[in-house]
Amino acid sequence: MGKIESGLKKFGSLLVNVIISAFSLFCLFPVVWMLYSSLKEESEFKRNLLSLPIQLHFENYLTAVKTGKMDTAFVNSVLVSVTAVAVLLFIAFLAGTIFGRYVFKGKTLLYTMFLLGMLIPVHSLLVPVFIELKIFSLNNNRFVLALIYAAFGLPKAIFLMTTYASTIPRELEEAAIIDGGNTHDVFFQIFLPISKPILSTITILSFLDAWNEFPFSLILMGKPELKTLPIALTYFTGQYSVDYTPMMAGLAIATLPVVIVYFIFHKKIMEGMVAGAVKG
Amino acid sequence: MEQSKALVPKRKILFIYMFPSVALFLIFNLIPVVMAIYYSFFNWSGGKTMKFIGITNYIRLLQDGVFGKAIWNNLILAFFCVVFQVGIAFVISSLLCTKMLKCKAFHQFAIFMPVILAPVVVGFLWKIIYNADYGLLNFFLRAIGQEKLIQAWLDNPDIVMKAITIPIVWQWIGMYVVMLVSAMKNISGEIIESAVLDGANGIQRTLYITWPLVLDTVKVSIVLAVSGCMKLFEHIYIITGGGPGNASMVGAMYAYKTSFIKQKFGYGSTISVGIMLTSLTMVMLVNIIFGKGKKRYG
Amino acid sequence: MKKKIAILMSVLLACSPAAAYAEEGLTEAQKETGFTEEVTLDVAMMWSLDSTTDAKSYALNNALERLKEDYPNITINYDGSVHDDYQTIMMTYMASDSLPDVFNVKGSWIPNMVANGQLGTIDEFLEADEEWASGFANNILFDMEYDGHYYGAPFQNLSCSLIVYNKEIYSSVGYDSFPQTWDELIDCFTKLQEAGYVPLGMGNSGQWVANSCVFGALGYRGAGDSWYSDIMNGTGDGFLDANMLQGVEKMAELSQFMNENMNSLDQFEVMPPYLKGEYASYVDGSWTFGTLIATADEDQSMVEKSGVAVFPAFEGGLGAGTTTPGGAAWGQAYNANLTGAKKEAARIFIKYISDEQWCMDLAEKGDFGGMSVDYDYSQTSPLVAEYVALKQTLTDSQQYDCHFDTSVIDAMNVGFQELLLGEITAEEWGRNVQDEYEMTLE
Repeated sequence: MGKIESGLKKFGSLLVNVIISAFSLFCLFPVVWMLYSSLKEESEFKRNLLSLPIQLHFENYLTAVKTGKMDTAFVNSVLVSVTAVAVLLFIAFLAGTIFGRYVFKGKTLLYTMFLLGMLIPVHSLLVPVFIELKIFSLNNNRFVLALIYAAFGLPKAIFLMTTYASTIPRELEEAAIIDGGNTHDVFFQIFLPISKPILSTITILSFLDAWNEFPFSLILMGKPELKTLPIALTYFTGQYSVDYTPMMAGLAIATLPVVIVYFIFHKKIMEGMVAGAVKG
Repeated sequence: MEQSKALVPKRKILFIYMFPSVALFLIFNLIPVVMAIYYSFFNWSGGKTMKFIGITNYIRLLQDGVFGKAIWNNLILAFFCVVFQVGIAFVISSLLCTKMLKCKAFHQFAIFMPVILAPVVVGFLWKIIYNADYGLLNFFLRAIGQEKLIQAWLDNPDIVMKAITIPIVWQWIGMYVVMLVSAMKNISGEIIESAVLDGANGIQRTLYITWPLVLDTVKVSIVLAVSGCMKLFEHIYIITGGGPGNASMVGAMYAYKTSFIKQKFGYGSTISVGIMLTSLTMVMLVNIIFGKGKKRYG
Repeated sequence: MKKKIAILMSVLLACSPAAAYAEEGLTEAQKETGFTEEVTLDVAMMWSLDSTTDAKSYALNNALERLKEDYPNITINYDGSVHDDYQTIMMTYMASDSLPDVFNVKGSWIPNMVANGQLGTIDEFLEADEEWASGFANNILFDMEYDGHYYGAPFQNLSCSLIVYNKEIYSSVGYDSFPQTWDELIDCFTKLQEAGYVPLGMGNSGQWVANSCVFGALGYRGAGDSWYSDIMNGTGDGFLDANMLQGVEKMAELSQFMNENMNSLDQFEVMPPYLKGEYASYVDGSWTFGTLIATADEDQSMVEKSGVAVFPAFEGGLGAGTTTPGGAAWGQAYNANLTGAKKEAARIFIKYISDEQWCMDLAEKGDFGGMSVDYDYSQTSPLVAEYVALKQTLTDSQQYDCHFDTSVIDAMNVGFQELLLGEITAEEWGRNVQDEYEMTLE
């Protein structure tokens, strides 16, 4: 009896391991496929999408950089995304903490309003935002684009920050105030360090959103020197033609840095999140 | 919420701290939404000529079969995302918290990878997977001798929506795994140990201890999943463009097409307002359902 | 004596621009037109300047270079995007009334932009420069006409419905030339299908291919000339027109001979199976050749075996079989707000991106500009030469999807996918589109 049971258990755990491993490999596959496809010759790729490259064509990367002006686009994407995330983290930390910890008049209304922001289909905002910016001649401005990304990230960030802040023990705050700390100290010396885990979650999610954002960058960055990576990636598609392998190389250029940053930090991020989970 | 007076910061400081968020939200979310609502009462093909037509667009919206179909697809999508995205994420997370699974760090890294990818990569890849002639899926079916099942997945109106759900579910599982694993790791070891001593097996522990304790995180995940599904655009745009016919049309895609292809900016805004109202209802439903759940589990 | 004159001439020629610079700092072109004001033009178009394969990109770079040489006083701020995104960008600009100075305009955009006073007419440009204007045939300007005025300079000449077929495979089922009647076509396709080929490939995931490349031809073969003007004027039976619906029925009939995945492949993805010999033919437009040749790469044997043809006419239809929907579809246009020097600069720039040299540059890359130029296309590929010869024998019919209201076009496109899947009949298709059409008439 016991033997059969432990045998079953072993088989079960083997099965679980195999299934999850298969799933994990399947999650990694796109990146791998993108990388080896980026080294194939154009006609080779069109004939067989899945085969490995016969020869390594690194020149696809040169074509990609030239065709898509990927170097300029890369710098722009970094500038815009980093600015957006920095602004967002700072303001969402302040707002989320207030929502999570204090009661004030009109709080529910204000909080609900922010949450509603999560439900807006972005394309419905294209024309209104464009008209708004036109009045103040603020299109073609990287900083404004970063602010827009920060604004779009706000609802989700405030949602996450608020739920987290409400779980911070009150004693910590009391202790700080008894020690003579003012509000500023309480926020930046007590809440901020404790909130690191959730701020790292917000960082990843909002950075990915900003890094991959397409329609607003398309509409608002009307000068070649201002384009971001997702726009640069479209230049491989002509009206009646597509250059797939340089596009793959371009996709790799756009994706790999994020993968590498994630690879370096993922343990830290996980540890951070485990240290203080997202709580309802 | 009870608070001692000493702990409440001065109103002025709260206002200053809150101001940047409110200002940014006002300028780039709220005012544009109000503008979109304003347009929704007009017959407007762009430019200076606008014609006020009252609620005509809304009457049309209620009778519009394509909009109904699109919202229905959104709801199906949201349903599958909640059940499978959050569901599979919950199972994987539970497994990641047991000794049964090996190479946990690798799995956590790998499963999060699709979250990082731009929708264009995901869309492009899955188009190839579903390709009727040389796609991975049909290749696999042939290999296991199930030729009967082979078909043009994205060309069959009855299947296309299910086919499109899979990449969307797949891409975001990693995010919920991360959120749930961190919530589960936070359950104190003592509770688990006492349960083990009481003779609870793995499944019982998951159902009666882990589930109730991570329920709030599950609720957050569901809200994120539902709101994400209701405004989903890019995957559909890349994989099918809403086709064949309108078989895989979703709300945001229909709003986009109406405004930017058909040049009906007024009606396009009406569709967007319709999507927002539907999403709002959905999220409120989630809150009601899980609000009750919270009481039950104490 | 002659030699001396020749030397003298060449010295004079060599010196004269330099002399001119020294005296007034003007180029020949500037002297001729007297246009020297410093002007900056904002330009948004659907071609990237850095593409290595796009023919239009090549011609555009050359045009910008020529302009810079001739008119150093004109500065072009160029913003390029790609076709699908260009649609989104231009619609946003149009909606918010902030179109750039010079841009590409699609035939179907013209009425709305004119109604909003956003689009300037090029009538005066055509009058001011007859040498340039005479390069455009009347039928090519047709797509740019609205209310008796022209609103764009054609920069391409398309044939939207062509069948590229493998001559060897066709003759293996007994057709040494392309079928000349509808019955022959069906017979040929049936035999091809029995022999294990996909008779007619199509890549309709973009939804417009079925409309442009199939209905454009079959609808005309059914309805003849008058239906188009009926639709434009709001007269006749509209989309319930029985003659036109015959074409839709023929289209439904063809669907059984097409690749099962026609609605999920794009028009480029049709080429590999054709080049592998799995498809006996495929339907596309004249833009297909460049990509087909590039996809075939080193092995051009399949391309050399290929022929090009159009759909035959069918019995009971009013339109001839020696036609293809064709024309410019797009044009180079300018903002109605431009005046004075800016308008003059726009006129000059538009000329440079549509003139004979522009067309020659396109021809070099296997593409076709708005003017016919003397170029030996056989050096590109015998298939392209065959197309040029075929084009001589064809007349252009209207490209419906360039002129109809954009929401009607969308209803047609969506309906065609359903029709090809067998979800709806030709009549149901007609009724659905008619509903949308009637809404636009109100």
